[in-house]
Amino acid sequence: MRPEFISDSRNGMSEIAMIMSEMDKTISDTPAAESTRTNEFAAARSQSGRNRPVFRSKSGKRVLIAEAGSRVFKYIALVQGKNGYEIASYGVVGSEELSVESREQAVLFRAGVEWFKKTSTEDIDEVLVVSSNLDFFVRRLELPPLRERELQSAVTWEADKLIPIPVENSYLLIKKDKHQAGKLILTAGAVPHTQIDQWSYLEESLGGVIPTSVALANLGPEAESTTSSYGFVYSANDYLNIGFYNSSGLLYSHPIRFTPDRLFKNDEPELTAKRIADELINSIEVFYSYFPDISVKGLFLIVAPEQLQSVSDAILERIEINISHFDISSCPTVAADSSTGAALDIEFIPLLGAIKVAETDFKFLPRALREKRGRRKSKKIAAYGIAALASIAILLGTFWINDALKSDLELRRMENLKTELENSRAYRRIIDYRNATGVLASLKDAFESRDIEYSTLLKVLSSVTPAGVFLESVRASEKEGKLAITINAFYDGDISRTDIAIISLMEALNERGVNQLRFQRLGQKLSGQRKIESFQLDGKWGLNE
Amino acid sequence: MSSLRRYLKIFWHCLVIVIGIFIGYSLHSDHEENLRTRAVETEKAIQSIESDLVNSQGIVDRYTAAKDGFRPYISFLFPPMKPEALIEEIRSLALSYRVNLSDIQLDVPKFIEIRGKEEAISIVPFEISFTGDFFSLGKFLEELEKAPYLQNLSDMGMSIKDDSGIRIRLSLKGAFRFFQKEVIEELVNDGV
Repeated sequence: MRPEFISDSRNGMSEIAMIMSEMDKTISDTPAAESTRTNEFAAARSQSGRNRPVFRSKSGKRVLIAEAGSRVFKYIALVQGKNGYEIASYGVVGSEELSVESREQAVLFRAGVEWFKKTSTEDIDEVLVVSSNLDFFVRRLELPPLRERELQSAVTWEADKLIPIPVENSYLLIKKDKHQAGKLILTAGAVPHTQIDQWSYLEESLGGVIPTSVALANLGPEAESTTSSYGFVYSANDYLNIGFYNSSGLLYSHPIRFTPDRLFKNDEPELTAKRIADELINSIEVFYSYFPDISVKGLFLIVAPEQLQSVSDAILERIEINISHFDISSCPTVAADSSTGAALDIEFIPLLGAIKVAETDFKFLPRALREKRGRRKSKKIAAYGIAALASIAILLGTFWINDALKSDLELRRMENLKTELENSRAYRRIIDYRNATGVLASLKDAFESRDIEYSTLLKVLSSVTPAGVFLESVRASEKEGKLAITINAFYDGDISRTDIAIISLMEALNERGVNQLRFQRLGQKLSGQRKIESFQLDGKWGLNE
Repeated sequence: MSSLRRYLKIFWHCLVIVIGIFIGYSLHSDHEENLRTRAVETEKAIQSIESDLVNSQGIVDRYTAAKDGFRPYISFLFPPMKPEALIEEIRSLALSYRVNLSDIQLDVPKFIEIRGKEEAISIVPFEISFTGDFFSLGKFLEELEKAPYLQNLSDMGMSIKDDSGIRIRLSLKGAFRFFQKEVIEELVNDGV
């Protein structure tokens, strides 16, 4: 039967859609009789060397997406290119080839990764584990709008109510969907710690653990609107995974574990089909209780080929619904890979779906690794920041040094020119002339501009001395820019007019600029028959005033 | 605590780099400013030199004018090793005004440098006295004050020398200046 969803190419789907489309073409054209069992297929490809682990490119991130069943290890090796991931190689390796006797999924997976590492031509940057053996529950949470710090506790509280495993012992992934009429819509996915922590041995190379339900939700037909959805049933190993998704992603997922009982018992096929139908119908009812406004438009089944018809019949007996399925027995073991020209088997469907998830954060990581990676990321950011700053510093330093050297060079050139001009004979001659001119001018100025005023003082004294007054001595000395003058004189005339004569002399001197005049009588003496009055005048005369 | 320490470590790294950039910028700015200033000064100096070279004839003309203006004073400039010539000059000047030079004393000289010659000008302090009548002394003093060899007069005393009151003694304190002959010759005889 032709799987319907494959023919619906999703909007914006990358190479995965293209690969699936090519697969669809081949699937529909190939007769069912050509099919073989998975391990036979693996062995055949192993013989032809087509599944030899190889990375095509040395550049780009190299990712190994792998899933371990109970008997085979399936992988797709991807290289990150310019337009997203490209498939470098793929393959299925049986437990015999890996020399593993245990049927435990983790043991087989570990052996498979070791085998790949040994055989591969290049190192792996990241391993993505696709696992269907997980108690993985997805529920839609509706919360009132909350602040970021309140959100964490509210989500945990709400998830604890809706998810049937203890949230405190689980890893919880939250995806914010939208705000709707004052509500915050979130999708919460939870897996017990132990089921994720078992992959810790992969350490740094572990890119994340992707539940099969998440991978499958990427590959189904796209719902036309948010009010319609599709369901899927995937049976692998000990688990039956049931999920519902629409255009906004996985809405609800529920695993049913059948260990230690096997789900499919060869002796009771009808009973097994009925159990699957019961679980599915039960899940649809639960889904409708959560999402009454969203209708389930169809189902696609990925179950063991021998159970396909009986499961479909069991479901259709109970409800009317459009069912599509991958009929593994009718599919060829080899399908064309449009990008590689190689072949992909239908059993790679979950791995192909996981390629899409590889680019998102909706995958689980052990807490210790996530924290370590967070620290490494912040360290990396810090290192980039410091490196960027250091680069800026180096660039600026180089620019500044270069600039300084250029400026220095230019300045040196100018200074050399200046020195050359200064040392030229013509300019030296000019300087000599100029210096000589300056010296001559300053000497001439010194000869001509004089402060000496002693002869002027004598002229003044001769012109202002009144009749009857006789100068005995005159002394003048330069002091603080002024001439300090001392005049000794006597009056030889009518004794009663002595004072008038002295005052007249002082007034005249004052008019000529001699100030701070001080008068002092020196006494009277006889000059022949006449008495004469001796006196002293002190004053100051400003030079050039 | 460890994450705080890590953030602090990152912060310190960034801080050191930022401070480094700041110091680098500061040093670069200072250096650039210094270079710019020096470049402007050098450019101005070059322009000045070029202008001088273009206008050299004007500079020579100014020198010639200064030399001509100075030339009348040359005969009144005396070399330091021969003060007798100066004394004789003063004596003859005094006599021309009927004034007698009665006494002269010269002190230890001080020197002024011109164009790299340390003793180009000698400043010699003096005390000198003359006798004569008041008016003759006044006119003589007026003439003496104009003499290029007189550096300065700091003190003047005048007193009656005899009972008649006609003969007067004039004493002066000041400083003469003497010029080295070769300096003057160099300045005025194109010895540049």
